Amino acid sequence: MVRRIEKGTVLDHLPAGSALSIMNLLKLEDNLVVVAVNVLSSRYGTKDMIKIEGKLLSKAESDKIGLIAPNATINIIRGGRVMSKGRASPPEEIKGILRCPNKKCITNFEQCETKFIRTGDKYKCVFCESHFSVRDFELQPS
Amino acid sequence: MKLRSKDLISAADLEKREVKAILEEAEHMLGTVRKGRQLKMLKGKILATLFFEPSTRTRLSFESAMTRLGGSVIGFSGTEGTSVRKGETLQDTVRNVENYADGIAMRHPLEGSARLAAQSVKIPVINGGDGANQHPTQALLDLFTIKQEKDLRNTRVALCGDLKYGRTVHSLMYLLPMFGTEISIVSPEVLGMPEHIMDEVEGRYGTRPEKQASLKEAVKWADVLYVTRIQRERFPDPNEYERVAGSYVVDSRLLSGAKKDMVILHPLPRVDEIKPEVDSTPYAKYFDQTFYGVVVRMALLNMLMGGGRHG
Repeated sequence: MVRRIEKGTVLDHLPAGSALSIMNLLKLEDNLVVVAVNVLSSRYGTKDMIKIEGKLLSKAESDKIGLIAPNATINIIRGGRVMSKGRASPPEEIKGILRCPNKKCITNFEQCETKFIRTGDKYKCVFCESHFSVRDFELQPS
Repeated sequence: MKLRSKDLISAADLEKREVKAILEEAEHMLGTVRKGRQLKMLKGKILATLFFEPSTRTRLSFESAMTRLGGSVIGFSGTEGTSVRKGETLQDTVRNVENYADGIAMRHPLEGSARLAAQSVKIPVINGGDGANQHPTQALLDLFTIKQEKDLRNTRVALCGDLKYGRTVHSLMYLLPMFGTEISIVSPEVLGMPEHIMDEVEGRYGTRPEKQASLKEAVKWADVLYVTRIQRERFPDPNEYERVAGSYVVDSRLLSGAKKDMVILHPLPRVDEIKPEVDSTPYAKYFDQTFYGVVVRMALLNMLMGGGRHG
């Protein structure tokens, strides 16, 4: 039932309980996806995993994972082999994929690309200059 | 000198050497205005003043500054009679105005509006206030006023009133510590300085402004008392407003505890946070600020729209 994938992505070391949010964020309804939740982990105690067949994540998608799961491992599979293994990290800059939580920010009224810059553990909207932690954002599907 | 950016959007974007250059240019402008000289640096240039929300001082002082530099002004105050009422976006509005003018000075109720406008056009955009975010030209004229009265390095400035929504104090927070000026803050708890600004200022300058327990304590401590208006609409409970606003009133009795050479600044308009009896005291410098606003804006206009050299 859970076969080896030829081409796709395996997301490992996701925080336990985050798999469904990440699936929703990456809009995976058209892909074959295998999810494991609350798997025992020597490093984190418990973790979630997602195996996505036929999809190689883009930079913007990796950035989104970096927001929710900053320690996730992203394995890219081609020809049945792990071609690259990277660690998701909180992106330095997030363009376009997040709405500004400040209701009075101009970006919520005009069509324009939002942009946030990381300042320590927060993100600053380059327009309204407000700072937000990750949990302040309503993460939009891709 | 020219500023690094084509625009002036936020005090947080300015470097110390740029602020110093603006203050020097303003000093020169002050001399020429006092001598009654008409300047021609911006002759043939047009400034568009786009005020999407009310303003008296900022708009008029931009217009006065542009006129004193030999340029001319077009624009609107309030969106009545403009295509904004038909739903035209800010980006489209400024793209059109770019074809009529060489620079834009704007005020808008939404935060980040000036940054978006600046991204949409090639001509300089100057932020005359974007919601509760920034008001850099006011902060620069406040700094200029303080410099006329005090040595910036050895001065203690107490910011009081509405520090949460007061855009002028947000801008001042970035400028004052550049010169070693000491800041303390005093406000009702619900109107405190946003933590992200406190954090950013501490990160940049290594000092975090101290909180004063009361206005009375702040008055004793300060060389400059910077007063801002506490707006009724910020309080869900009118009784709470009455209670809080009453404890942030500057009057003769409060000033009996002040240093003799303390000065009081206010970005204006005031409502009743500074009693009229204070106007005639040597402490009151808030009307001087409005005069300095013209020369500081002359300096900025010349640096952003002209050659940035003294005339």
